[in-house]
Amino acid sequence: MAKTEDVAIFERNVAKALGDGQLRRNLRSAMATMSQRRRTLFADTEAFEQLRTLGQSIRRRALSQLPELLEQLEQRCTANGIQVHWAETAAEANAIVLDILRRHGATRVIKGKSMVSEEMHLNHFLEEQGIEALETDLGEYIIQLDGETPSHIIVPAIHKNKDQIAHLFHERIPDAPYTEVVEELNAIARGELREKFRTGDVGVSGVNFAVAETGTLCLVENEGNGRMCTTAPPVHIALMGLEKVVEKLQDVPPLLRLLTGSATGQPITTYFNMITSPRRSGELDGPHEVHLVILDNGRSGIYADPERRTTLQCIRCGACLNHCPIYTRLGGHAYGHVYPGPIGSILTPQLKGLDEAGVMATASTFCGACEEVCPVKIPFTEILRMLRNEAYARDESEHEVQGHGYRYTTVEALSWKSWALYNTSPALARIGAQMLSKFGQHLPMIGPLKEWTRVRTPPPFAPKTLHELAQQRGLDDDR
Amino acid sequence: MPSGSCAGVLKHQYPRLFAGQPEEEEVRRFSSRIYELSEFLIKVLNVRLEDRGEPIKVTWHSSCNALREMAIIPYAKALLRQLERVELVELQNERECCGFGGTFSVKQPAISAAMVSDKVDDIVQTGAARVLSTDCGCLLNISGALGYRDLKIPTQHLAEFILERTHGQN
Repeated sequence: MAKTEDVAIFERNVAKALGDGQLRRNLRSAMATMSQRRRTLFADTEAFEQLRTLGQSIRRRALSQLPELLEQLEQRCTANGIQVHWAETAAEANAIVLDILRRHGATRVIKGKSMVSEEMHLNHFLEEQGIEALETDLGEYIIQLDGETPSHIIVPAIHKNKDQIAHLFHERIPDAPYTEVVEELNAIARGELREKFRTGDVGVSGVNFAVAETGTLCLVENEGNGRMCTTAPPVHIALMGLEKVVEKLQDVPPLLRLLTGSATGQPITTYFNMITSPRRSGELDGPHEVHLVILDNGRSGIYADPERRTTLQCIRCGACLNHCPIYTRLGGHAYGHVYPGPIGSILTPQLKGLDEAGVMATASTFCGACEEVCPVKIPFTEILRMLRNEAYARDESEHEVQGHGYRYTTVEALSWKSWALYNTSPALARIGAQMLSKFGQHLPMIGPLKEWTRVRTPPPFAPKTLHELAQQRGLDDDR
Repeated sequence: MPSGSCAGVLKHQYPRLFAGQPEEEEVRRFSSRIYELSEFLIKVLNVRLEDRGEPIKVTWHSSCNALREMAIIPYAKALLRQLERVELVELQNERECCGFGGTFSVKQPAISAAMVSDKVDDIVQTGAARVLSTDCGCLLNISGALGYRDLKIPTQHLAEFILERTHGQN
């Protein structure tokens, strides 16, 4: 069967990732630590269940009135002196950012961690415009030095270990001595970044929650770099996906607890920033201008379908990645898109279309580990199943996911039709089962059986079918 | 049902599949009567098992559906605990999928192979003489991988194992 392009690319990525023993060891140990910390923090399972039910209801309530809340957010932000911009596509968002930078003659941008900026490929875009965009989150800084993209939405350099970072710093940072001492490595990065914070023209950040009621932008971080980026330069640009809005200020504490606990097992992060306005007259610090760019980039399409909408409940904690048996073996890069792991597998095919990223929905055994830890109870397996159906739904697409039917082949459609016929006709099923027990051992090792037997012995077929055995014992097997 | 996965479909997914259909009520009644075997033996029949077998060390594989969708692992282990001469050595990563996943095993064969290989390593380190589970899909996958590596650790369904132990065969 001809492979679609996304499948072929993914297979190559998988082979590369699985062949990298160092990568697998790095991921294994990092993921074990993160999930252990999370388990310790949420040790009281009943309390956790209550908390995540609350988290789910907060996110659902926000999404159920999304257009109204976004309007309210714009009003409140504007009243607070924050300039709000709307971008339908990543290209529009990039253009908005560039326009602000040009107006201020900015050539040096310092960035806090933002997955939306990754989605926009902002760094690459700015570089083409001759503008330097420096990542200041330590993990992001590390991978930027190595010319890589994040392999995890919370811990972008999770695929690297200390020794690899030691070599990287020594090679790429002028005059950096070789050291494997973590504190010394931190000090090297800190030294480099201080100067950049001091001289950056514009700071760019993401947004974890945007509060409609008060027009407040919340930013969660551990290193203080987020605070630097949003306060030191004269201009701050915040980037957010349009689903990040919540209704009230009181919605924030439970979500924050769920976010930090699920992500890193912390009860709260070292820094939590709430940005409500630019510097007011009489204040001694803070930026003179704050801009908020609200990005759609395919989200409103997801929003339009009630079943697909649950995807937008996500608060980007990354717990689904940390607990996914597939992510922990591949790492993020193998997925080939900005958002990896279970959340990436449900989000990306909907944002970019099945024909570009549909293969991601096949990277799951439906084991349900993601659903079990998700702090806002996203029904991952239901969405994955829906996306798989859509990939084959040529004409009868129920959810109209972009690119639906892209994997439809007559052969596969026919096999499933036969499968349905076989299982809905007792006579056929009986004959089929008898044939398999007689001739099953002699099946040619092609197709699925070939894949199966690469690392497994062929499945043994029982000499007698269950019906035959039941009949032998005089049981009425038709009832 | 002697399967967490099949029971999960009948109990939890049938009502969803038939939602809004004329059969919805009938399906709900049907689904409410579904038990996975171990849950039924413990909760409904309240069985007391008498172990007539030789001492044996076994390990346990929790299928994902038995573990999460049906949440019946405590019942299965309660049954094993009733068998006096059976020593259960748990896997280090018991909560991790074996990599079967139905069509996943042949649609993503490389990832599936990596997962089942890790599961086999985990089984070997327990030193168990047998692997037990409630799900035949997982057992097919695991026994195939054990066999391919020439490891003589038989896999067995919990129902068969209980029958064998209480009938005193080896």
